[in-house]
Amino acid sequence: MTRPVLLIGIGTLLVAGTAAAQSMHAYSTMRQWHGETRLTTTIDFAAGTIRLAPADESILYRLTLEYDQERFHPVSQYVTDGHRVTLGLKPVGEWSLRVPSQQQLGQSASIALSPVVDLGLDATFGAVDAELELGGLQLTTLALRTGASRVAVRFSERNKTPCRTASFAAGAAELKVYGLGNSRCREVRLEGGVGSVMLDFTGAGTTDSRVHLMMAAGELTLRLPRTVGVRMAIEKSLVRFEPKGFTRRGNEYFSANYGRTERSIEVELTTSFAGLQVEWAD
Amino acid sequence: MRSHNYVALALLPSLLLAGPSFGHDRVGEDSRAFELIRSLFRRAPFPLAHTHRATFAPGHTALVLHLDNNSELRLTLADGRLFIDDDPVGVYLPGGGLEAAWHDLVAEAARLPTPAVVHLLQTWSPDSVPQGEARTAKSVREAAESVDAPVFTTSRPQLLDPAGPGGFTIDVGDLTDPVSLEPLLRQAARLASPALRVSVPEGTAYLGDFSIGSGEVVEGHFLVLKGTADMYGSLRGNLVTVDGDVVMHPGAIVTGDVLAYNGQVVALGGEVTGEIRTLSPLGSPAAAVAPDVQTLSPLVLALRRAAGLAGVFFTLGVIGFGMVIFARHNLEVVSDTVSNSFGRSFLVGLIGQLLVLPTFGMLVVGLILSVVGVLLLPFAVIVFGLLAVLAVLVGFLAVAHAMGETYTRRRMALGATIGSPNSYRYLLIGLGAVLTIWLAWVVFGWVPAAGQVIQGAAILMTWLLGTVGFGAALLSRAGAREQFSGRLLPPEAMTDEYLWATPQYGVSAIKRPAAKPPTSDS
Repeated sequence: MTRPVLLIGIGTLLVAGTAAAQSMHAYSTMRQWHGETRLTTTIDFAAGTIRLAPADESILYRLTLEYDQERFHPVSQYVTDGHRVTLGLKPVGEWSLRVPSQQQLGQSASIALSPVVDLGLDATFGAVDAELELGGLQLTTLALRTGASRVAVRFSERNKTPCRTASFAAGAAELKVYGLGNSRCREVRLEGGVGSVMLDFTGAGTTDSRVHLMMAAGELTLRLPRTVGVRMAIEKSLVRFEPKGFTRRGNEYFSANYGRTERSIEVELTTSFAGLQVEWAD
Repeated sequence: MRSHNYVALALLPSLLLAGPSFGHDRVGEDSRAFELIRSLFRRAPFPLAHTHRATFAPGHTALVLHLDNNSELRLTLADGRLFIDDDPVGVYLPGGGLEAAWHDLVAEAARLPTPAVVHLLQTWSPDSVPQGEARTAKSVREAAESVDAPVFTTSRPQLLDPAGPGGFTIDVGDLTDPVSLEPLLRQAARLASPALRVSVPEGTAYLGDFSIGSGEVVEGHFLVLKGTADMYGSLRGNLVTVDGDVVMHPGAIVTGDVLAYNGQVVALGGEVTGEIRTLSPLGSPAAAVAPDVQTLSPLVLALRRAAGLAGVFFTLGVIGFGMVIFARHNLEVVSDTVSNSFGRSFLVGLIGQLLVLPTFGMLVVGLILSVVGVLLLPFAVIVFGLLAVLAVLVGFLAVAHAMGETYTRRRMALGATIGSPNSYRYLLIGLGAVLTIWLAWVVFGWVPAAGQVIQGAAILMTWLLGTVGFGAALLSRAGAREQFSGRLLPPEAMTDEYLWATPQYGVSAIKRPAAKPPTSDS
């Protein structure tokens, strides 16, 4: 506290004009599809609401933003040689410890990505409310890092190409991934912090999946389809885990149909304090 | 009906009663009178929609009209409800006829210019929808009817001459960061006129609507101010419009980037091999209420600051009077501590400011480490903050009180007659003195450089007084301890009348004759 209340009062009242004058801007950028076959997309979004969905086939990518120009700067950088694009919002100046204001949380972004190119997607979210519809894309890799965010990822349609890896790092976040079976990802990785994570493995895919889960604390829910054979190897401490529908052998749990199904899921889970739940989906 | 129409209704009888006087006057005056009535009844102009935006997302489709009064009209269909500016005003069946019609409308709106979109909304009436959805569509029409659209005007393109060396230059060769280009584009829009001279490196600037015809191949960058760029042919370069749209017609080719500042890129066909960008400021209520201080005239700025200063003075006065009523003793003790231990108070205040945050940190850590204390943490944080604010506030008011008291006593010592030398008067005088420091800034704050110096001086002085007050509040434990207040007499003896008659300090006190020792006669 370096200045008395009077100063604060006077400052607040007299220069409120400049302080209150938020500068919201609308920004959009897009690139037409000109026969590209692949695209590596990096999304960096600090605060606000973000929606991602497949684009029209004539579009390679499109970003529509409403943002606070005093504090953030839109990013749209396309590198033709490597077919890489970076989209999002970066803070103006040095990043510092601050709570996003209501105005910043009022920022919004809408991103559409081509469904006809092999897509690598690397997304980093800060204080964000995100809804990502990745179904119907040609996703080859997915990396998603979230801070204090609420993120829902959906694969409502089958991924058009096999996907190598889907990795998620969730801090103090609420992360829900629906339809991982549609993602056709051979490997799913999760590093969970103190938030709540739900992974739903339902979907029409036939790809076997290896799932590596590390949860520090928080709550993890696995939603598994009954038609898929599941093996879970669990290293846990201070966690009580007695899932229904599994047979236990040492640290490993097997579903009744394991080894007899077209698709199987191998789960390796390491956790200390996390609450762990398994739900079966018909 | 707008408010001024009510005014018109109120005025109508007066005008009718005044009819005879119009009656035998000239016809021109009659027509002027009726014109007056007509003008009063004419509806107020609705805000103009200058741009619009269509948004698609799963389960959420929106159309936003940006209006010229820095606001916007937001029409959203989501989760079975129609929202107008975030207020739910109607319902629809997800997957039903209204939703399908709305999707078609929004998709159409993405291709159309804003006036056409407004017209589309005002006449939107989807076929074969249930009654509830028809009401929802009506809500959309009614909302759209509160908006006007600019009349389509076309202006002849006009080549703008380049500025001389060192003149106004806008380089549109690199559009990867349109935000950094925005100030220049904004300035160009403000200055746009046939007399404007602007240089575009490797390019040309035009004023008004512009087009590249079918079969034409043009090289270089183009900057189009206040006009729409209709592209039918080929452009080998970048294209930027300011306050205008880019319309890509079938067969058009732009091999560079396209940027529409305060406009849209309408893709009716054609091809852009580079990036297509739009950038426009959005209306924000905060910005509308509080325009940039720097753009105000000195008089308006001074008046606004004076109003703010008066508000602060009034607020502090009210708080001070409350303290005099409910905590007079504490206020007086802190005030006396300021008067008697000024230097000590300043030092304590300075150290106190430095130690506030570490103390707060230690408090939090201490409470966290003690298991039970964690529960008290939220309360402790709030109480600590309140105490700190209270100490500053009480201290500052006490400084004002001390200043007022000192001034009053000096006047009384010089023989002036003061009606009621009490704490209310002291506070008012003291606060007035403090705020006089800021008055200079109010009057001369708009002067370049000097204004900043005056403001800095006022801040410094206020901080100094605040620090002294804060220190005095700490020293006296918010008026509970009189050790540094110089109060040698019991509080009941410290009445204003006693002090007036019996100066304790200063010249008057020194000259006071010594009390005579008791004699045997008495």
